[in-house]
Amino acid sequence: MKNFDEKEWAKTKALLREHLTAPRLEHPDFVNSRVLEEIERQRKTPQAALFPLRWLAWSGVAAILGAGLLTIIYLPQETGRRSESEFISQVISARAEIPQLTVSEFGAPDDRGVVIWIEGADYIPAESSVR
Amino acid sequence: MKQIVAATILFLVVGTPQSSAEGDRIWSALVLATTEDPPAPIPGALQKFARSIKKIFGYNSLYLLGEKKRELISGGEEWLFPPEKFFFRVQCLAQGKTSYTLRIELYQDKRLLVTTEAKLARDAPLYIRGPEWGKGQLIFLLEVR
Repeated sequence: MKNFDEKEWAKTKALLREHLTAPRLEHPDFVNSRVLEEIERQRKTPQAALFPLRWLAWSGVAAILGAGLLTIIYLPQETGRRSESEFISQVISARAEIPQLTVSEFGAPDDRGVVIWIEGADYIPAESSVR
Repeated sequence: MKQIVAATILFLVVGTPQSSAEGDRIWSALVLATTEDPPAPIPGALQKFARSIKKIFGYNSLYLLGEKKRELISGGEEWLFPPEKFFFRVQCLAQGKTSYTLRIELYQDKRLLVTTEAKLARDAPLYIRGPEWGKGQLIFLLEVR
């Protein structure tokens, strides 16, 4: 039974090789160009899928530019460059109102603060409340 | 295009910059500074000042004796009583983008000790060395917040 099938199958294959040939294309160049176009199209498709929300990014960029422009137009004072000294506290003047006191001032070494140094103030004993 | 307009409006509503000096407050505190071994724990409100105070005045332990906070309004006047014995009269002379020009008077028992005009920038404190008390030093702090 098996031998018969194999023999029949070999015979069928031989007949197919002999009679079944590829149909002749009438416009092979045209078909070829369409195939190449399709291949190119399929190659490009995954790139577009990488970032489907591209419009959102452009909207964000446009919004930031718009906000910057409106800030420059309506709040010009907020856009100027500020000097470092604007963020540092300074003593313009300081004076003692009691003759026994002396007052001096200097910048705080570590932060942007300032120090007023009063000398000559009366000592307050520990038993006196300051609260 | 609709999305761009919507996003712009949203950005402007949420992100419009506020005036830099709007709603600022002045915070005042009376601090007792001492030298102790080991140093006493620093109160939370004084953490950010501890390093500077140690460098300026040389003390390693701080105690918060009182604090007050008031609104700063240009042309306005505030009385700050961190404790009752010492207090400040603060006049806001001018308001800038990043700072306030203030006239500050320090009183002890209703007696005026010192008058100063200072330009205080935000988060840049004014330290005032006060009298000695017991084994420590009184320090006044003023800061625009």
